[in-house]
This record gives sequence, structure tokens and C-alpha cells, in this order.
Amino acid sequence: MSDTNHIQHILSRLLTLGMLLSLLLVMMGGALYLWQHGHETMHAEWIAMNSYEISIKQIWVKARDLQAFGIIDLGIFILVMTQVLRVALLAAYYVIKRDYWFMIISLFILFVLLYSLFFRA
Amino acid sequence: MTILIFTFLLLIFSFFAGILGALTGLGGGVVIIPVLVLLFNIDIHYAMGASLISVIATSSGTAAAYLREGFTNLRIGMFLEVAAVIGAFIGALLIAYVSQTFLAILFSLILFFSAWLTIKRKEEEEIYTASHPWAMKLQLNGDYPYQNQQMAYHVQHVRTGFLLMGVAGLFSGLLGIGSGALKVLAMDQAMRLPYRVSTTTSNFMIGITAAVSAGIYFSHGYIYPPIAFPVLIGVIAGALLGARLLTKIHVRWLRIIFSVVICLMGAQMLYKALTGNI
Repeated sequence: MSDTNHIQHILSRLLTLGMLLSLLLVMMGGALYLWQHGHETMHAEWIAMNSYEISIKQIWVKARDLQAFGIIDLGIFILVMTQVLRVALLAAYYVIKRDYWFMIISLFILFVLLYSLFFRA
Repeated sequence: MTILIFTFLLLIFSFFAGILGALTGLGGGVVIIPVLVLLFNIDIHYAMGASLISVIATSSGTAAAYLREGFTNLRIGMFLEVAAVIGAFIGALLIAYVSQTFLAILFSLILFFSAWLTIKRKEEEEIYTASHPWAMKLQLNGDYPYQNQQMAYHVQHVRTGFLLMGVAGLFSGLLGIGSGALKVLAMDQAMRLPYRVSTTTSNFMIGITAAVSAGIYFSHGYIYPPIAFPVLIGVIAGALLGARLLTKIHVRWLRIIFSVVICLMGAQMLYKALTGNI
């Protein structure tokens, strides 16, 4: 049981860290966006005119240029990656514990996650 | 309305969505989607993108606290996640062959029925001394904090739970919705887990399930930063508070809140199906 508690503590720390980093970036990007556009009027067609598609790779480029949307997207992306990281860490834990059933289970989920995030068209 | 005011209002709604999501194990979509679509006239796809963000945010905001306090059962969560992922995959393949309207009506009926089942269960009167053989083999049993001590529980009907979770995944793949409601049900009704273990484990899983769809949502442009950022901030703040409230609210009330929320979800679903907006 203490082993399980140990991994739960590590996971808990990791998730908090990822969440805070994401929150910080999203707040910065959000503040920048409001600074530039906060006073503008929001109307029904607001979004249709701003059709916005982005791939995971493009997020990096936009964030590096310090554009508001890019920084927000990077924050969101980091939050998504904490989900991947928690599965990866669990997989590593079960490998170390030689818990083969759960090793297969976690690796399967990790594979599906990575595939759908980075390789699906 | 200026963008600044919109952002502020969305932040407040998201905060409540986060509290509700943390307490029910459902994520905040049930609040976020109708607020964006009905109140602010935002396109449903962007609302779904915001809902996805709210699910991941709830999961992140609560996971740390629930893991630390020892409510979340990681083994059950990971085990059931496999069924959910396979179900979602099959669902996405079948999407062209099944009537969306029929599915939405069926799903809303399941939700109403679930609300009734959830209210009906009185877990404090149930005593199990044995576990399902699979629960022993996979070491799914655990304990959780209950009235200042660790209380052990025995997991029942593992196969039914796994199957239900597959169905939950199937529906989420077919309808493009989160399936938190069926996840909680599989653990509460089939596996007979303590309610707080079910909802917190669901909260751990929904973030992973939502992350699977995140890439698709990004590339379709459903995640629109001006909408996503107040949702993310508000929901995380709400979820952090909700996680603190969980132990302070009686299980009976948690069940009632959950049932009301899934009835509202069912009504939303039914409305969409009957007006042909699915």
C-alpha cells in the first residue's frame, strides 16, 4: 500500500506543477489578448470571422513569436501533456514493479494518447 | 458586449462549472455548453471545444487533491480506461452507420434511468465481505478516507463494469460527448464502489479520455483561445474549491447533485435530438 501512496504523491506533485505552469501561460496570454482586444465589441459573427485552425506543431511557432493566441494555446497544450505524463509515469511505475498486466494496460493507453495527439491526420 | 465583459462572465460561469465537475466526476461541459450556446450564441463546435478544455481542467484541478487524499483508485481507473478507449475507437468507426438522433434519444433515456439508480442506492447499508475474482487477480481493491480512518472496500462485478465502460466509450465516440456519467455509473452501480471513490476515479480518467480527442479538436479549430482561456482559468479555480468541498458534503447530497446534473444533460440531449440539432 505504501508504494501506491508513494506513486500517488509523485503523480499529485507532477499534476500540480503542470497545472500551475499551464495556468500561468494561459493567464499571460489571456491578459495580453485582453490588453489588445478587450475593448472591442463581441457580436454573434465574432467567431465565424475568426476561423482558427492549428496543429500541435504550429503552437510552438506562435508561442515563440509571443502572440496572445500562441501563448494561450501553449498553456492548453501543456495541460493536455500533463495527462500524457501521468499515464507515462504510471507505465514506468508498473514496469519497475514488474506488474505486467498493468504495464500492458498503461502502455496501451499511452500509445493511443500519443498516436491521437501527434500522428492522426 | 465588449470582449472584456464576455471574458469576465465566462470566467464566473466556468468557476461554477469547475465546482460542479469536481463534485460529480463529470467535468464541466454540462454548464459550459448551454451557457456558450444559449446565452452567448456561440457556435456549438466552439462550445464543444471549450467543454473539452473544461473536462481536462477539472481533471487536473482535482486529481492532485484526490490522489493526495487517497480517494482515487488508480488501478481501477487505468483498467476501465482501456475499455473506454476501445469503445470510443469502435464508436468512431461506426459513426457513419448509426442514426445520431436515435442514439441521442437512447442516451438521454439512459441518463434519466441512471439518475434514478444513483438516488436509489444506499451504500451505507451494503456490506461486502468478498470481492469479484478478477478484482483479486488485478488487485483492484483499495481503501479510502472515511470519517478520519481508512476504510477498505471490496470490488464487485468487474466484468459488468468493464463492459459498461466500453459502452460509455462507444457512446462518446459516436456522439462526440464526454462519458463521465456512464463512468461513474459503472463504478457505482456495477462495481459497488463507495461513491466518492467512483467520482474521484472518474475525474482522474476523464482528463485522459479528453486528451485523446484534443489533437482532433485543435486541428478542426474547435479550441478557440478567447473562449478557451477564461474557461480554463475559471474551471481550474472552481475545481480546486470543489475538491476541498467533496469531503464536507454528505454522500446523500453528492448523489442528489449528480442526479440533477445528469437529468439536465439528458434533457439537453433529448432537446437536441428532437429539434434535429445533433
